Amino acid sequence: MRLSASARAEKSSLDDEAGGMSVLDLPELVLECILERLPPAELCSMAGVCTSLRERCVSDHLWEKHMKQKWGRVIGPAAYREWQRHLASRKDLGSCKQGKPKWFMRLLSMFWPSSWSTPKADPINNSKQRSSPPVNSIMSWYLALETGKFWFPAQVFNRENGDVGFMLSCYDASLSYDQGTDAFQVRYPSHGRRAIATESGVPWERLRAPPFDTSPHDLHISDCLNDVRPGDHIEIQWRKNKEFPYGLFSIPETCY
Amino acid sequence: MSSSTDSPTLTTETTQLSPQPDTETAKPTKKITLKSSDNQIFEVEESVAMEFATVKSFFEDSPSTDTVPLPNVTAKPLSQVIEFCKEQIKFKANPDEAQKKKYNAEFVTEKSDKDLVDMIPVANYLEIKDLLDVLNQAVADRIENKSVEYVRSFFGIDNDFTAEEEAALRREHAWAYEGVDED
Repeated sequence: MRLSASARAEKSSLDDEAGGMSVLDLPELVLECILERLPPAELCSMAGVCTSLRERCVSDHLWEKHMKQKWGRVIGPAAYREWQRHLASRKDLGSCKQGKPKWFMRLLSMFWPSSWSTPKADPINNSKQRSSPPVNSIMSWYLALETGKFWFPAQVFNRENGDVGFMLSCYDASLSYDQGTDAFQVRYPSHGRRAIATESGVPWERLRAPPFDTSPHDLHISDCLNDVRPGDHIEIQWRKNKEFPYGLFSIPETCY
Repeated sequence: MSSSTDSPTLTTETTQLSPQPDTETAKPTKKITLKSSDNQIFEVEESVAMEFATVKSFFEDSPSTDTVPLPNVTAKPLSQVIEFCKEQIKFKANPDEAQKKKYNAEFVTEKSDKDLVDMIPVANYLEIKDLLDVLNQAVADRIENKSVEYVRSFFGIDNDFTAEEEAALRREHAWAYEGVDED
């Protein structure tokens, strides 16, 4: 649609800018363009400038890109389900003051600054009142990952004794990000007689989202075995057997 | 990137474009008069004025006009916008992405915060997309790694959070607040 210049002139509300231009007077689209160019930390800062900017800076469409960029490679459906579980547990705990996890209280107070002490309040009404995003916004998830408060499931490539033979194998694990070192803390689940193992300083390169959305304890049934051709790369699962951690069957005892 | 020598469209550092594009001598230069909201008159070449989509469509609607009133635009940002568009026309005549990028970067670097912010609504009103992109990026760059207070004063925005809300934000966004530059 093309408007004539005079129509545009009438449409625009920028003519009384003598008192100093504010970014809030910018047309919606222009402000959006600026916000789209801001990295996550700046979006957070902008959200702290005033309520009107906060309303904009918390919207999912601005965070989706950042989420994908930083976390897309290591976050899979399992991690998303885990996040949803966290959110749901927060809901359950809403009426029980003792039970709320500390980190969640902090997240809560961030998004519901005026209402976090009244957790039963209707989130939708609150969001209108204070222009805050729902707790299940992408921003809240991004921040929970970024600050390491949220442990997410992913797979970690093995570095067992640097033996090349095993470096292609990986474990299912629970991970927490450490911003200071740009690396991860890892908790490997207990398997049979093996206790929970932990590792820290695990770099991004050793992570991947599970290629299949199957629990570490279940066998994944491949539906493409008939299509396998010579030269194809295949992955073998050593799951199912609870006596031993998967992925370690062929390592001699002397390695431990 | 190292293959620039086989590409005829790329201009290397040593063969920079001449400051005066050929098009100016080829065509008779028609001048167009723009009038800012504070009644200043700007005479610009038609090719420059046509960079302003708003002015262009004004002329399409009423070709006989000799002065285009710009009721939303004050003289200072307008003069800067004209300066920018004059350069862009040279790049249109002699495309050189590297030089253009360099010029655009310098154009915003030497502007004050206020000049930058003041130019955005003008670029938006006149529909100069390239300039708007350059300005938006410049603003995003300038507030990068700055404190909330800095951003407030940069944009001239009042803090309308309560003290409690502000404290909560500060706690929760701690990671974003850490390591910001000195204001």
